Amino acid sequence: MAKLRGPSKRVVLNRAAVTELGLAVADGIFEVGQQIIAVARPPDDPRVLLRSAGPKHRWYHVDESEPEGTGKGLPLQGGVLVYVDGQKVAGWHQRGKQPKKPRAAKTPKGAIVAIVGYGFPGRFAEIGTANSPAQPFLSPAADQVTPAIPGHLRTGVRKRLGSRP
Amino acid sequence: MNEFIDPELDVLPKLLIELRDDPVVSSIVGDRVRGKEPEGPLLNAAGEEVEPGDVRGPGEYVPFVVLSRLGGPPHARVPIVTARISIRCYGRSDREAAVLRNACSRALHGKGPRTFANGLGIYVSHDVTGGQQDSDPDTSQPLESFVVEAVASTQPVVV
Repeated sequence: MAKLRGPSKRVVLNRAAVTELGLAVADGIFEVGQQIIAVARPPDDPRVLLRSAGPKHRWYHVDESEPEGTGKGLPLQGGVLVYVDGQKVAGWHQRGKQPKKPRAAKTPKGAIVAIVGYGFPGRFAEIGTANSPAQPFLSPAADQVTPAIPGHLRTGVRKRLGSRP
Repeated sequence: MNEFIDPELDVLPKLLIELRDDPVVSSIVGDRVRGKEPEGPLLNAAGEEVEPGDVRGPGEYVPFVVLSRLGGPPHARVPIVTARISIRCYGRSDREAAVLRNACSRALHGKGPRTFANGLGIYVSHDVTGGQQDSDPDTSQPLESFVVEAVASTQPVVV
């Protein structure tokens, strides 16, 4: 079992730079993201897909010694990142390491941005490929969690600001 | 609320027909707009391939579009649903995939109220993600994908 790694010093530093209210909302959104990952049921064993992916995706680590269908592939690729004012304030990955920000994700100043998703090849499982139909798992999970977002935000804000007079 | 949900009313086939009927989309893909997955090869009684399907190898690519459902729960109180449909546009080149995606987006984005013969009413449909450039992991065929959200009725609308 790999040791869980906490946020880096830089993330702690970034948290100190943003306002309490921003952090409270960010914590709530972070909880929403974790909830979506907890609810999502990605198809097991993406290696079936990876084997046909060809040399382009060989960089992706596939441990051939692991038996297939053990839930160790895509089901453990989920992660959440939260940015406030363009600065990372929270990050979490199911495998314990800090996830990398997707290149296409925009984290503008003056906004709180949460990125919730799965690593490769989650995208192809979600929307399908030429030879395999779509098996959407993230969108339904988001739909399931969406009605509870106000509750999660309330919890986050209460935890951080509840004791204030 | 369950009595307000008509199981016959499905957004995906209607969007599929709208894309197939769009002159720009059909000029690129013909009638190769599919639901769920691409069409397989046409086989004769002996199981021999008479006509190849949509999925072909490098050098033999054909453009086609695949729509698949991403979900979208019905509204808690009002008989409507915000259906999310993923649209994958496969082209022979990156440029053709991009042109095809733009054509599909233009055919559906911001399109206002319309009703269909089965009573389905779509209030509006929008391209909510914009295109994402990619290539298929199986065949390396260039593709662009985007998601359309359509606010639709869950019970027949009579106009």
